[in-house]
Amino acid sequence: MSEKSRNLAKQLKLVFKIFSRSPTLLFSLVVLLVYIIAALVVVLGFVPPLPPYKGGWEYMYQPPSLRDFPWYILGTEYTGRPLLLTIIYGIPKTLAVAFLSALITVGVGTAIGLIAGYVGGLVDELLSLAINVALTIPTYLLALILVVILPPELKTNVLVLAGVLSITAWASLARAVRAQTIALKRREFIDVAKTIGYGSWKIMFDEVLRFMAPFIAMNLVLSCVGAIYGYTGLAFLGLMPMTPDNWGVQIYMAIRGGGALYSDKAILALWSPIITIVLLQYALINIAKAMEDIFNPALRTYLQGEEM
Amino acid sequence: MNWALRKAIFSLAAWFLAVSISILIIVLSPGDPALIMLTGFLQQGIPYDQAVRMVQAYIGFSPAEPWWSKWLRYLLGVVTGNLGVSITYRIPVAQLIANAIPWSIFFVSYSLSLTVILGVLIGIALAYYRSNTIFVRSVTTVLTVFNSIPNWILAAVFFVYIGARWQLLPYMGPYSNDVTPGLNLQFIASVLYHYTLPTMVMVLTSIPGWAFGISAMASAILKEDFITYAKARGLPSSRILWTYITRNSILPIYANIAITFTWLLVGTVWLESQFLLPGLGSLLATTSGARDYPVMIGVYVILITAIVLGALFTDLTYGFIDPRARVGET
Amino acid sequence: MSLIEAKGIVVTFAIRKGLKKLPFNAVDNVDLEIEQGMIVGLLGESGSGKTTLGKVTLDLVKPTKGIVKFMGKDIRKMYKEDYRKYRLNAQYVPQDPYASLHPFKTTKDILMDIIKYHKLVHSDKEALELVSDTMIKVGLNPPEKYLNKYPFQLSGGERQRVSIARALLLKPMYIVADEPVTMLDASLKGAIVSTLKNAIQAMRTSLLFITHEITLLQYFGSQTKVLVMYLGRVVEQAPLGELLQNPLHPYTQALISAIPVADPKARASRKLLLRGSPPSPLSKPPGCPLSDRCPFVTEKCRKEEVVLKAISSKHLVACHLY
Repeated sequence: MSEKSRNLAKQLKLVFKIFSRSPTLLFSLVVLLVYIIAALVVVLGFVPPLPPYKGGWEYMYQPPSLRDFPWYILGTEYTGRPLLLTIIYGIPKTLAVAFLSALITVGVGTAIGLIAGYVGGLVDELLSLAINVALTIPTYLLALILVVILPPELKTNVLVLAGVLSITAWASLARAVRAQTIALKRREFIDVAKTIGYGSWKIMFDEVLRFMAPFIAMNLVLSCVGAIYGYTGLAFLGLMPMTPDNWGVQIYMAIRGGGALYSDKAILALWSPIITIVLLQYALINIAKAMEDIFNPALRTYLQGEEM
Repeated sequence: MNWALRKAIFSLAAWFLAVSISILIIVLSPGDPALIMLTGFLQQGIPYDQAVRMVQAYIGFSPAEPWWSKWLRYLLGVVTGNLGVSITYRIPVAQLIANAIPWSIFFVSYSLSLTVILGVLIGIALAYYRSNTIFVRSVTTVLTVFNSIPNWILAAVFFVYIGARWQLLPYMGPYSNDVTPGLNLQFIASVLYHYTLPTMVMVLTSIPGWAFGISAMASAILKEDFITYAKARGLPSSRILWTYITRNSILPIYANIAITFTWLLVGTVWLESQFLLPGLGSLLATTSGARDYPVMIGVYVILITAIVLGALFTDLTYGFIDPRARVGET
Repeated sequence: MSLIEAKGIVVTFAIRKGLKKLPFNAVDNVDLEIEQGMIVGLLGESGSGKTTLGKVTLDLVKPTKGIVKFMGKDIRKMYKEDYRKYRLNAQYVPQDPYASLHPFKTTKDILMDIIKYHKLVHSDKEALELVSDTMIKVGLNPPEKYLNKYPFQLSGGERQRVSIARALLLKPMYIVADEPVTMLDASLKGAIVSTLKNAIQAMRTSLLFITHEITLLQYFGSQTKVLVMYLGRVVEQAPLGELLQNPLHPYTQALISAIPVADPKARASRKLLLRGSPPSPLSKPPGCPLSDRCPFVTEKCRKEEVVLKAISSKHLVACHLY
């Protein structure tokens, strides 16, 4: 094992130790791991392909059965496909959209905030104006319009969706990063970094950014939460392509087409995607809150000391 | 007053840029509504020239003109109050929006005031009883759970169960059919009753952010020297809490109000359409489903305007409350 | 040729009071010359402009007026190569050891990074050797004990030693140490100052030692050139020994009489007190900056500006009494 991978293993162990200090956090980590494993299983092709669409009342919202175990244990959904399978198929795409969107949001927000705060002057004036304008445009509102007007082939593109869902989401992070950068600029370690001869990029992206690492990491996770909200929420409005693997579409169909209003026929089709979404959001929010601890050098060394 | 004027000019500039950028994104995207509408009319067998004129009449700009001219023409329309004509309802967009605005103002301000009051109370309680681990843990857990439920999911669940299945509260429409709209007590009572469920969803899903924010801030203030000093002087805790914490937390509360206002306004898209309420949100949701582009873009512009006005309003009122805000700003 | 030469330095700051901006000169027409291998003490209270002057010589604060020369060349008009040479040769040890070390970086990260960034050596092993040598030099011995520690795990003294090691690592020709021991316990101060002195003398590095404690300057010997600053001006300049024996400026006399003395009888005889409250750069009186507090004030002091005049070849003072 090389030093790098050993180091990585050590880091992961440490992160796990931080999580295991609180049962809620441990639970959240396990939940997230289950989702990631499920996504990998789908991507690697270990899951049977979605069976073809079967119209007709007799196939929709069938009760659970042991047929093709385990795929029919939640019964079928509105296209007559096994519900469990469609939910699992939704995981990789949702996670991909969420993660890509969070990367764009945090990447753009951090870069703009850092540059505006560190460079200052006219650059700051212009970037601040851009931030202030973007702040007045709610992401989901513009995303809604774009999702409606974009041609269908673009709407299903993961990268386009990620871009749409982060269209102005970067602004609030950029504002916070800018304010923190301006405060950090006055710190003595930045003066020292200058005399050491570090260039602006090194100071911005190593010294200043490292200081904000917990905040940035927290925002990365919270941006995932936001993107999942938008991705499923816009689908629930019926504005996304009606793909069976979108949890928002599944809830929409369970209420509008499954008679969830009057009977328990579609109860599994209603609650399964809801629990899938809420569980994921709950886990992500708890993990976001833990970022402070993960990056806290005092806690890290304390836990490392326990090992010895 | 100079300061207020400067704020207003700045807001106007931000509004202009936000609307312009949105319009440009819309007309430059591969889904330029004018082109889509044109294609639709052409497919219905309408001759090209007539189709172009129809698009122009509905949305305010023509599919044949360059992007900058579309942008200028639409902006001019916004300024003069001409937002085009709805394709589905065949009436001016401005009229549709004017009918919707009072409902949204009522829904959002009602939810906002409840959210702020309850959020601040819970937040301060969390900070004040922070030594009571059981209280803090259980409240935090409940808040985190509500934080992780998207508002449209809570709306759907409440709609299905509290509304349709158990019939505990009204879940469709803004008031019952047997009252006459107007300034009478039955009507107002009916509206409040019908908005109970939607408002519950709004408030429950926006409280966690408030409670966590206020509690973090209040905890920080409780650790400050002047609190220790106040305790040392023997001031009762309740007095310390109200005079110091509430006074010191007015700025963050104000800053948060504008953000929550925006968030609730966007939330009406889901909530008003779920509970079949009139308003800007449901107008946007239904016309989006029907691809009624003139209404969609019109409502969008109005919502942006409302957000800018909301931010300006909180800025100005805060400036009047706390004179420190008027100076020190560049 | 001097290593560092600052001429006619003026730094104007503005503080905002309400909607008005009040400008004031934090440093007001100051000259400073530092020869190679020389130690210069810069003495003054907070608000005297001593830190700002130090930062001007490091190009961390841009002077409103005046030029700074490094080895005879104006640092603001240097070619890139020359500026880089200046940059790497002018290092800084700031006052607060808690704010000057990155909290998320270990000692090893902080020090190794510098070597790697400037590609000073070819291998990690060499870099580690260089880091260890420097750490031993500043009294962080054995280095292994400190390498993997985060700043919060170090004591104040250890942090300041890391801060000094960081400044020494590039083997600079010039170091500014801004109150490096102010935040430390009295028992540690001497040890850290001696460490700094030994390290820079071994490398023939120049040092600008900024402090408000005249006693700390005694570690550098009586020949150390000392500049006394008051409200942005240099009021007196002399070798330390001369300054202690024969202080000319009333402000210097007051500073020296404030040195704690063990003998209570001696104390009374040496006492010289300034009137009024500690100075603020915002309420600088016209004429001599000390005119509102000086016991020997005359009409001339309140009206006429004072300039630094030479009393002897090494002793300069800015006071109308001489």
